[in-house]
Amino acid sequence: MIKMSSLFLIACILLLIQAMVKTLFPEVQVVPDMALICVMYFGVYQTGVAGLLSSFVLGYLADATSGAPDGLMASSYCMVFILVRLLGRTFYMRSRWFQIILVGVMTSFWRGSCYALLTWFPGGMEYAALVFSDFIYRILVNILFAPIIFSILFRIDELTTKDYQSRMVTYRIH
Amino acid sequence: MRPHEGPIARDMRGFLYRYRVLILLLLLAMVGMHSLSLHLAGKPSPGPVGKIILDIWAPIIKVTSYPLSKISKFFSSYLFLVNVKERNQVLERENSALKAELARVRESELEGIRCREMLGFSQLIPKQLAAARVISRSLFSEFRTVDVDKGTYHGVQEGMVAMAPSGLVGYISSSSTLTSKVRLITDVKSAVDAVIQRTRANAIVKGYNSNLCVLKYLDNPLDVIQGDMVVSSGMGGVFPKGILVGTVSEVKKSPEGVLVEIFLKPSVDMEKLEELWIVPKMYETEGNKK
Repeated sequence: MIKMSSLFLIACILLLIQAMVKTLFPEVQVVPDMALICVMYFGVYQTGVAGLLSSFVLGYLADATSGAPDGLMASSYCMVFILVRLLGRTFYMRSRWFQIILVGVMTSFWRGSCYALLTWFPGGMEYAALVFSDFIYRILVNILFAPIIFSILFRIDELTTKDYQSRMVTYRIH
Repeated sequence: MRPHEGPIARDMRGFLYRYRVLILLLLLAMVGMHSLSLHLAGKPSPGPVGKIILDIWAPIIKVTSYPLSKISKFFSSYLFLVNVKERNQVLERENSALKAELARVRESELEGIRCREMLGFSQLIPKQLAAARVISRSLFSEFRTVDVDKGTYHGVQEGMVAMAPSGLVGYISSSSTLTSKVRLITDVKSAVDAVIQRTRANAIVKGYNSNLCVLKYLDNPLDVIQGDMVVSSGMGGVFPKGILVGTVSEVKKSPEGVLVEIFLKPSVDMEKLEELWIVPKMYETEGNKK
């Protein structure tokens, strides 16, 4: 419970930092999607129910504070969580290369799911046309920041889990 | 195992436990899709949960961003003073020219007011202004919104107009108790009924994927030239008449001479926007209530 709450709190703080960067430096067009990277981490390490709920709430928070249509980020973050959970549990996430590949692939999937959701409903086409406008920059920025964010989350995980080392061995089997 | 539980109830409990993630996913997907469909269908007001989130979020971001914005302002205002002297001279010259222009415009305005009073017309620019400070901006560049520190508690309602001294900013798309979301005119979902000041031609100003807008639905688009001023027409009952929207920055034509697109640079620099005024909708202004 402490671990889940701590990781969720860190994700909220990272979302706040993301919002502050956008507020203080509005000329910066692309900022790292820190909350999304946290969702990817949840997909690998959180339990299903806790991770899914955290991802949804984080997405809803992003929707409410970003001007995005309500439910867009909440739904797309849940999709990312499920896909990472299906794919990522078998990998060893401490590998930098795995983190980079995972973040690159999942950022693309996230943008794709946003596009699909916006085109699915009437009235979303105007926004859907913009989804891929800064696609490459977004992937690059996320890849660049992913190791730092993963390190922070790993550290929090370590501090709040007693049997961390044994759990790492369990995940390392593949 | 519960002692008085039948086999069906036990199976059901086992089923729910085994597929709990899938069931939760379906529930959350339904909630998310429902909110999304409502929002895109034109009901952008956040639900009670969204309003609570905004009310919690607003003070946090206000408190955290205030000292950082002061530090940022200190660096931009005091440390990076390159070319300030030259710029000052240019601005002084521009200021004296504008003073002369202002005196002339003031005369015309007074004349206009007298004429309107004689004809019994209402005020064009509403007087009930509430000042608000920008506390945060959208996380994603495709959604052009800003959050301000005034909400329903301060009398701000959805549909009210946001203005800056230099022109039109947008409208209130949603509001909670302590904060409101302003959809900027540069957002792709925004549309302002406007008129080109020089030719009096009507057009719709739509947001574009940058700090620009595009002019659409013009009767004679080839008549537009770079530098034309565009003001709100007052039609539609939302934006007051005569508010400066922007200046035509580029008229793109195809090689055959057929017009392709007209770009408009908003009069307000949305990236540097820090304070704005919130005014009631046009048909709710004091003048129109008379």
